Amino acid sequence: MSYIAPKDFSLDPALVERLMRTFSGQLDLSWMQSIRERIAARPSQPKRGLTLDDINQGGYGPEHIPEIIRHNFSMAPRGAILPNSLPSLGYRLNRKSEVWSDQAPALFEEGKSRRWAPARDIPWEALDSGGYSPEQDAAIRQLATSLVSIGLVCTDLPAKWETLMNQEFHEVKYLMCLQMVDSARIAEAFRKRALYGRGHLGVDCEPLGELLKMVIESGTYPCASASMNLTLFSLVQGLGRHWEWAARNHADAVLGMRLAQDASRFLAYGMDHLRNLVAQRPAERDTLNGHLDLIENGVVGWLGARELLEPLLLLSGGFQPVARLYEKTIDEYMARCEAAGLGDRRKRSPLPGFLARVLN
Amino acid sequence: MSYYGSTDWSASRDLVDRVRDIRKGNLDLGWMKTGTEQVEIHAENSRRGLIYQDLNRGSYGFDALPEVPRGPRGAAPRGAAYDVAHQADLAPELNRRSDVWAYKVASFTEEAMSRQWDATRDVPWADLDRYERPEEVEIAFAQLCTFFTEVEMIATDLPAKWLWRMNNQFHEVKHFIATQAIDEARHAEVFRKRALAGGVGLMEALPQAEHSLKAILDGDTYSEASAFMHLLAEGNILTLFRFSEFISPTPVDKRMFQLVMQDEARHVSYGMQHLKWILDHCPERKEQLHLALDEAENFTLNQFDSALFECMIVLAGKGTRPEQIKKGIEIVGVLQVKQVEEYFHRLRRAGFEERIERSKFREMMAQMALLQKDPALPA
Repeated sequence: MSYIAPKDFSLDPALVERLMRTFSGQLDLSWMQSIRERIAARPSQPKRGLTLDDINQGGYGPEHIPEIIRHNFSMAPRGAILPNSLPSLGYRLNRKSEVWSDQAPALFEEGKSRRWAPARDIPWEALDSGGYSPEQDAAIRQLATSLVSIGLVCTDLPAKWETLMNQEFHEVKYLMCLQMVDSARIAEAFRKRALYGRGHLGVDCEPLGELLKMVIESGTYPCASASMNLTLFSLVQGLGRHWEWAARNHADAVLGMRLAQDASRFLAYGMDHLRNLVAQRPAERDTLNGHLDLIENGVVGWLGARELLEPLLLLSGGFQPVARLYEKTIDEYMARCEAAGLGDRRKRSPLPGFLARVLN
Repeated sequence: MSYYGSTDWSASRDLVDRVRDIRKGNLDLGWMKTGTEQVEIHAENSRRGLIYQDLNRGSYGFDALPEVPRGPRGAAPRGAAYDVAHQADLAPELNRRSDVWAYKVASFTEEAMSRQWDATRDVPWADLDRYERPEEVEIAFAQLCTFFTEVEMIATDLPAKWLWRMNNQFHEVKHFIATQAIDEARHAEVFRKRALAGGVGLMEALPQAEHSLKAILDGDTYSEASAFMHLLAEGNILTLFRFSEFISPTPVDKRMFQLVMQDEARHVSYGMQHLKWILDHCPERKEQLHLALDEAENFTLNQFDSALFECMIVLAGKGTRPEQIKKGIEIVGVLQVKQVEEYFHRLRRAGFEERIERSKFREMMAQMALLQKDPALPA
């Protein structure tokens, strides 16, 4: 399986000769003429620093990326001079519309500027003041357990596709690295939340496990992006806001706020990516809608799971706030699907039917 | 290609009845009775905050992790209750602790999270105009930055390739790998920005370096790929970063190298500690690692792209006049020896000293008669 060199270079006299020639002072220096396009990018707003948008000029910018990459399968950076002998690194995502979002550079910049570390940026000692009944305390730890699972799988999903993505789309690849660390941070923060004080983890929620498996095993990158960025993170954002709303201490309020804020970036990329894809290749709309029909079936299973519903109910002080959370989250999700160019999903999605049957 | 679950929830009468029952206040609360271990967790050092090491208690801790965690294959966090038979199987492929683990990995992860920086704002880009740079030096620096932009992304793609195949029981390692991915994306970003801010732009991609990158990516196992990438390739890059800081044409560039070095040092340390863990716990895998490093060193030897060496010579000598070239060659010659010397030092620290005798670098260094210049190298 591994890539083997065509010869043993330690026994190659030609290599030694070349090295010795250089080290004896016989330099070629022809590479100094290899200047393709001169550029001296500067911060457009000095306070913000030098952003990706600032350097995306001329041939270095994404406007010149063709829809289908045929010229570069190596790690050579976009805009560099490409010698003929560059190897292929086996990329499988070589269509711009499969991955691209014009917002990716700005979202990457935003993610970096809003970085935080759970160890120090959550006022953990505020949890010592309590504020919850024993049942609510168990409920919040159970919800945190489920959020750890979500964080773990959402770390894996961008990793799974990142390796397969052509380097010409480096802004999207950077953003996927950010998604990995954002998701790992969700897992870290909520693990710490569950265990803090006299703490414990709860139980694995099987319908959530099934949903996460569906999301990560999506067969194409656009389907994976739709199911994670758009569907799953709509729910995560809703949970983050609800967590903040139900918080009885400053630590939980910050945790919920951070979760909702980070989720917004996943949503923004997912929506713009899908909008771009559907605009470029309208036939993809049917594939994506068909995929989401089935993913949303998994969402129904999770929304109806005791491991989600009962802790939410205990934490929220009754069923009505949870019903409102479900309705609002699904409503916003449907609006996002429409804004992403997927059309009105209300008629085909199992989610409105589920809500109607259980809430009315 | 996709997986769509084992239950059609939309047609499930049970689900609707259950939710209606809960709505009426009939709670089962079975999830409260799972009997997971209760632990007492607080931040031991308030200045550091609540870190992974503080969570290293009982069934939640990493000290209690067995070599083969039997059972968990899904998204259940380590220490949570789960049903082996009914968990959603995510089919992880790296299920042995020694496949991925490293001494101090939790500390590396926390360090990475606390030392995130931003290539947009933490490098004083606006100051670049304050420093005059000879044209030939700026061209050489643009070539060096093109090389760094090219190679840094391997250290996102390779860890990403293996991250999702790792069992979730090893979440500290997975988190470390995620931090490495963002670190390296940031490195590619900062070098691209520097090349495009300097007035020259990106220059030539380097084919020999690319063959090494392909060999790293195609490693048979995570540990073999890690030995090549973390220990050898990133180790060499770390030495090169130090050298580049030394020869940086401006304080702005020095700052850039200081920032990337601290990340790179962490990645190299993880690689060393992973190798040490394997050698301590699975010494039978030594020969497999030797074979992988035989080929890794072979690819590294062939990384002689004249554009890379020559740009370093021009930078080290600060120009292309004969006396500058002479000085540049002396400095780059020392760098070459230093890279090998530091690689051997890392092998020793990882407990893999026997590798040095077998290394392909020895023969090459001997042939180049550089060996005699540094008595620290084994004869």
